[in-house]
Amino acid sequence: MTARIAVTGIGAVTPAGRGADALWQATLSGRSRVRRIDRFDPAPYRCQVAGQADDFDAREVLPARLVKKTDRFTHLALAAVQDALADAGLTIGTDVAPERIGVMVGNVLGGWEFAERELRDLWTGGVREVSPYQATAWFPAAPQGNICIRHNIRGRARTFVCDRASGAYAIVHAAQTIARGQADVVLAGGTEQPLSPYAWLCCQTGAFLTGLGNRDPQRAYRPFDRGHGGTVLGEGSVFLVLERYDHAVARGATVLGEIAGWALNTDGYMPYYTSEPYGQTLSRAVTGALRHAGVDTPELGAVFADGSGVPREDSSEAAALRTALDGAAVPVTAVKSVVGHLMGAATPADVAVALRALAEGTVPAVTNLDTPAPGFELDFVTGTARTRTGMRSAAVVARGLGGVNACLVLTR
Amino acid sequence: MDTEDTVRAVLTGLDIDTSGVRASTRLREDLDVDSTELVEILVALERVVPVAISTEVILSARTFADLVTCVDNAPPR
Repeated sequence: MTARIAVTGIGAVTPAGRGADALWQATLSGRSRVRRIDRFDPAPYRCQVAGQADDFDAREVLPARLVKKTDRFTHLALAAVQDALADAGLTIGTDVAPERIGVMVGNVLGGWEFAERELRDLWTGGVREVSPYQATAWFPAAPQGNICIRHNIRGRARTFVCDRASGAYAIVHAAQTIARGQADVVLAGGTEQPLSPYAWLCCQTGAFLTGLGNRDPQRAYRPFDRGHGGTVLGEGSVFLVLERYDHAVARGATVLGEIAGWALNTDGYMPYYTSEPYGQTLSRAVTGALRHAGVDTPELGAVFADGSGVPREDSSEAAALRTALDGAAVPVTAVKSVVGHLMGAATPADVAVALRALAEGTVPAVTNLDTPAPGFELDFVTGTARTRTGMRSAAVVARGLGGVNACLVLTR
Repeated sequence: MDTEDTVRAVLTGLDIDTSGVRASTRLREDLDVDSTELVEILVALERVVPVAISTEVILSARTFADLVTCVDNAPPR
């Protein structure tokens, strides 16, 4: 017996604003929220643009003492979780026992805004100047711990650090946790705040950021376009409430869609910081997720591609999708260029948009995809959103450095 | 300013609500102060009072009065 996994709530804090609706509207608008960075002086860096969640002021959402003890990537996560629980109408302790709810978080970088400040104080003022909260504020699992404390969650909790596929791994593990009967509800999502000088430098040396868009930030991130030059990052957090289907129905929750299938694999390709160039391994992840979901490829409603905008990654992903779709007329979109690649929160954000697309019967266009690069022969959605009435399923692809691949299949 | 006022001012400076705080007010149960915050309080106290407070002593404080005693009994720096 396979348990059905329902999505019953979404919380999102992104450069599009607060809420999944703001993200959806921004995606439909086709206008990128990417801008020149103003959190620090970006002039020395190759990539000087990003998606900033400027409307989010942690002090409006969280107690001042908690804000002071934690990094912004935790603030974003706590706000997204709070909104996701409210959206699901779920009260912990009433609708689900604290022991039967878990948390899975994707994150890549940790909390460098906080950590950089403390390191500066350490080197300039000495050990007594370092905040005692440094130890618990910076590390990638900090949001997970604070979510559990704040919401009295006592079930399984884990943080996944697997580059830009981290959020996908969190969702897969959450679905597996429910399917195995280890929880009735799991909060699954991710959070990222790459906008600090050191974190940004690390991303630059990772060699996946574009240097081509500094003069025209809104056009900088161009998935699959012949002018693609790399990724543009963004800050934000998105969390989904995943719930055993019958548990959701029994409490009268609104089911936004289901996580019907998934597959994970790894390229194992050398050099280790690249991915397998023909996308054969990634294509098997897509095919595997479709098989797991019981969705025949020709019936698939849409593909939400990873669309990193890194030329070699776009190229291998296009090859992978061509193999997996095997000539089936399935529209392909990619939605990260609207708010920037949210790294740990990227796949949760893509899932939030894909669920809304399923509900509306509309596949958004790829923002900034004007002319696909040569050889990318896929049915890309360009220009304006495409109506696809009766669409029942969507595949969401995620990839990370080192050839980490994931695919989720959503149904409605 | 006596020690009690100093401690109260330090707590307020750390965003801890000190309205209604009395000698018997419990740090953990009533003010939600955890062990890491006690270390933060220690550092903040030493910034305004020329004493050396031991970490072990402040971590054993249970009430507001205990904090005041910590400062009063601490050796000068």
